[in-house]
Amino acid sequence: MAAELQSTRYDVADTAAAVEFYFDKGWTDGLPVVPPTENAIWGMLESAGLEPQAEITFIDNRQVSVTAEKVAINGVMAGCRPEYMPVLVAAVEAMGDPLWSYHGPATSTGGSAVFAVVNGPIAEELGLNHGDNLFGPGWRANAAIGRALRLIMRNVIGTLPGRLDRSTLGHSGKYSFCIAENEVESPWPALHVERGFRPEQNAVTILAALAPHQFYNQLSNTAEGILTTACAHMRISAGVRSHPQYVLVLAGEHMQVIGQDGWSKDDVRRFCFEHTHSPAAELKRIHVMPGEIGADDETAMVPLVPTPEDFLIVAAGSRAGAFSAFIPGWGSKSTSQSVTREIRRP
Amino acid sequence: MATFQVFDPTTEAEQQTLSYVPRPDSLRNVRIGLVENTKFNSDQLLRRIGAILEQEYGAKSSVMRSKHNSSVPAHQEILDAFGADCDVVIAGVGD
Repeated sequence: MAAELQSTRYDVADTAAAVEFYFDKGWTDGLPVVPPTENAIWGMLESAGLEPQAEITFIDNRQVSVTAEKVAINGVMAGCRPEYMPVLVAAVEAMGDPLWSYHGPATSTGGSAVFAVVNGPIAEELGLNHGDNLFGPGWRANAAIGRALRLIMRNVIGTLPGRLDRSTLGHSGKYSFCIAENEVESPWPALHVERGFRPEQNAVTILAALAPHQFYNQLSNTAEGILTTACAHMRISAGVRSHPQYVLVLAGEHMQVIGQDGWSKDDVRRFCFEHTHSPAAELKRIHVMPGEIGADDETAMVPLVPTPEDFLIVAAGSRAGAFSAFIPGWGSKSTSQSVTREIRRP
Repeated sequence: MATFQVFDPTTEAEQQTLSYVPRPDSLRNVRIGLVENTKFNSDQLLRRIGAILEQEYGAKSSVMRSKHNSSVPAHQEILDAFGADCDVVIAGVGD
């Protein structure tokens, strides 16, 4: 490639000095970063077949053009291998989609993270975890890809905590929040296939999301029993009354039981939609809906999500254990919704 | 001593020029527009502000219109409406 890197260069004495230099500049998430050298940055760019100045997305409200070079630099800093770069590019494209609507989830006191689900053969190739300790540490690809997205928000788009990121609480997913789906053992079509891609295509889906909530059901061996527990936990949960999208992550044992009962993802969605309505009166009594309780409010049922399709179903998590999780989306679907982008490789 | 080079990960926002219309010397007889952002109680707060501006500052009228949601800019339809029937517009986001 003939093009040159445009970013300002700094001379540092050694790796330890570089790590401290990035802390001093305020360019980290609070953890040490990998010093981005020219070779490492070019490795990322070449992996995605991109020139440094290629625009990945333009964040309208910030008037910021996110270039491949800046994505690559932050990706190296996060610990990415070059082959992760196409995933970052697709996820950053999705963050610039008007449906994701960058300003709200990036800025809000509501404190969302970028939850990313990677589908397709690339997940296995990169070593993305879809099993044990799903949301926990231990897998470089999950940790580094999720971390890179937040560093890009911080360093490239200016989403600095306490300044343009006004989260009241935030959550640990803001360090990194990236998983794959267990496409091999899942009894269902993968998330990206449901969203219009072929199984052999690679895609990433992002959702502005709050923290995962685990639920436990070791007593039921039916789909209805497990999902009744799920709905009881979800019905009055973080997103109630504002109608965001929700992700339901069904882990090994629950996934098998629900699949063996012959339930499709659509069946799961329909059941969960029907069983997460709340009476308007209850929402008013717990002070998440304004207004006096009227005569009809005891029977006026309010859904948790706008439509059954707003439950995103993902098969992932360890084979062992009767646990699954739900992840409330941030805000409302009308302010930000999940976006899927193809991961393109040269 | 040998050194090596590392790179700046940040981007500056592109510069743009914003122009403002002159602020009115007085609110007497002006028509007030109130941009409601859909957050809880924002309508009540703005209605109260509109009333104060009419009663204490002599504004001629106030009209409130709502954005699609609090996370997006005001849409063209209400911008056009405010432009057609207001002299001063009040907007803001709060929690």
